[in-house]
Parts: sequence; structure tokens; C-alpha cells
Amino acid sequence: MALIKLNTRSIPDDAVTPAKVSVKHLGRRNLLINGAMQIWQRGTSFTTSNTYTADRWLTDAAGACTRSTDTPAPFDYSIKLNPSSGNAVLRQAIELSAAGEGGIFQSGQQFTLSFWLKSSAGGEGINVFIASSTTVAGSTTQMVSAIGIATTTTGWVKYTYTFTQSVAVGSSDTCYNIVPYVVAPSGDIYITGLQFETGSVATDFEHRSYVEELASCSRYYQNSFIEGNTPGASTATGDAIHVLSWSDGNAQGIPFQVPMRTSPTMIFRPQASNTAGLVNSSGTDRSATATNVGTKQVGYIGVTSGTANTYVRFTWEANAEI
Amino acid sequence: MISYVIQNAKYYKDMDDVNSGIQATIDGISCSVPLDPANTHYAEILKQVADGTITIADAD
Repeated sequence: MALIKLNTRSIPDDAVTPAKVSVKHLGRRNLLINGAMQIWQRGTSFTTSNTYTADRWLTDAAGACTRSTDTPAPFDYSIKLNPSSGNAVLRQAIELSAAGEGGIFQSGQQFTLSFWLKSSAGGEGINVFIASSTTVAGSTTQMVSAIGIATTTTGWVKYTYTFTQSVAVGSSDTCYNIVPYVVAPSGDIYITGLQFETGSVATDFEHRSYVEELASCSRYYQNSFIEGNTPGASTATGDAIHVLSWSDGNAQGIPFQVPMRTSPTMIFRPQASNTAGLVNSSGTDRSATATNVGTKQVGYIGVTSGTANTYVRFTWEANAEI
Repeated sequence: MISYVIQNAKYYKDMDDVNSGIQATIDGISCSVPLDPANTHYAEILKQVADGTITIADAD
């Protein structure tokens, strides 16, 4: 059989069509971060309302929320929601480049949301809410308002929803909120594999590496804890950083692991302690403040009555969520 | 809209004697909040001050 050598010029322009390209090999389709529930920097079990759980995902209602290994193939983790009352809600804010700058979020643009969902009961409404806003839970400009797309079943099903954006984002809006939810479930809800992409087709989920997702999540939240240890609960010595204090008792600052979205809210705790607002200065817990905080570092740690020229040890959390 | 419970808000200063942030208890946890309008907690503190819900104490 004769071999034909192809080069770019010999391929007709109309020969390569979307149908001939395997979409699963095309990257950067998913506008959501941590859609496969890989990253859980804040812990893996929660009970309070309005809480970030898996990285970038906020839940509304109080009740049990945990990481689960009950998944459809090929996912490793799902999020399990069992609200004590109300809806089982997930929220993620997609950051806009600046207030009012929609980027690809323009009127006339078509988008498709897809996700896998399973319920311990069937027949519960699965809804979608999408809006641009100034915060993750706001709704300055509604794009999709409480559309029912399906009802739950007791097995894993991939759900999709396509819509065309009909209005521009608001002039003060800084994020585009994607909110799938199940209406007043009677039991457990499991969700994973969330993808939001341009166009009318729900393509195969775009799997990203753990390290890539962790870096993306860390723009919005990061901490000093050993991966798998829960801030506010772990007392492992390896969770803490040790820095030097100055002659005035204050201590040197800390660089962030990746630049953050904005200057973050900081939480300090002494090494091996879960009391917030303190650091350990030469063996004594002292009040502490994050001073001159930017997007790439904490300038320095203000320590009340800190001991001069010694060690200061503490854990930290940095929160720059939208 | 997330409703934060904010208590004991108080400015603190940097080494140049300029306000650098607000120390506050937010949902029961003591936090340092930078004076950055894009920071969600700072925006909420300003909102609650405007609403008359809280006040911010001056720095020592």
C-alpha cells in the first residue's frame, strides 16, 4: 500500500470538520473549577449553612455535606448533600476579568451546563439558576431563573441544560454564578462532573490534573495545612509555619502559594491550637493581625506584646472568594 | 446573599500608623480583613456599617 505524505497545505480547508475531531482531546472547555470534586482544602465534612465545602463550591442549607466515593465512572469523588431543610444547592462564581466585563458571557452566546447526579429518592425536581452578580450568592442580572430541567432518579444520570444568554452582565457584576439544585430532597443527593461550556453540546467531562485544579482553587482559598488536615480541627505540628520575630515583637510575613484574586481575609491560629486570632510567640499565644496584606503576600504579622528576636509559629488560612 | 454575623470589628494600624485592616469575629472566627473593596468580607462590613447594624472601633 502506498503511503501518502500529508502536510498542512495538502489538507483541504473543509476536510477537517468538528465531527472528525475528538472533542475530548480539546482542553479548556470547562469554565468551572473543581467540577470533579477533587480538591477539599477546608475539610471533607460540613454541617453549617452558607459554607464553602469542596473548593469553589458553596452550599446553602444547613445539614450534612461530605465528600463521597459514590460516583459514576471515571470520577473519584462526588459531593453528598443532605440538607436538614430546604433545597440541596451548589453555587460556584466564575470570576469576570473586571466589573461589568462579560468576556465570553455576552448576550447571544449559547452555553451548556452538564453534571452527574444521583438521589436516594426519585422524583425530586432538579433546577438550574444562573445569574451574574457581585457575589456568589447574589443575582444582580438573572440569566436563567429556577428552570426545572429534570427529576431525580436513584441511579447516576448525566443531566444537561443549554441556554442562550439574553442580556449582558450588569455593569457592577464581577462574577457569573452557576447554581444547580434539587428542590427539597428527602434524602441524600450526590453530584459530580459539573461542566459549563460554550455551545449547545455537553461534551465529555474535561479531566484536569490534581495539581492544576489545586492551583486554580488556590486563587480563591489557600492555607498552610497538610493536605487532608482540616483547618480549625487539626493540631498537627506540620500544619504550621515558623517565622522570625523582629526587635519590636512583630513577625515577618508570608508569601502566598499562588497569587490570590484580591487581598484575602486571613485567619491565624497558634501551632497545635484551634483558637483563631492568635499566634504562638516564643511559647506564649498572642493576639495577631495580618498587616499590609496584598494578593501575593501578607506584609508582616502584627503581634500584640510579642517576644523580640525569636520564633513565631502559627497556621493560616487565606480567603479571597467572590 | 450570604449573611455574615460580624462582631467586635476594630481597625488596626501598620508600622506607619496607618489603618491596615479590621480585626473582627466573623461567624464566630477571629479574622483579619484587609481594607480592599473587592474583599467580600470588607464589602459586607461596609454594608452592615451603612445599614447601622455594626460599628467599627478605632485602632488603639
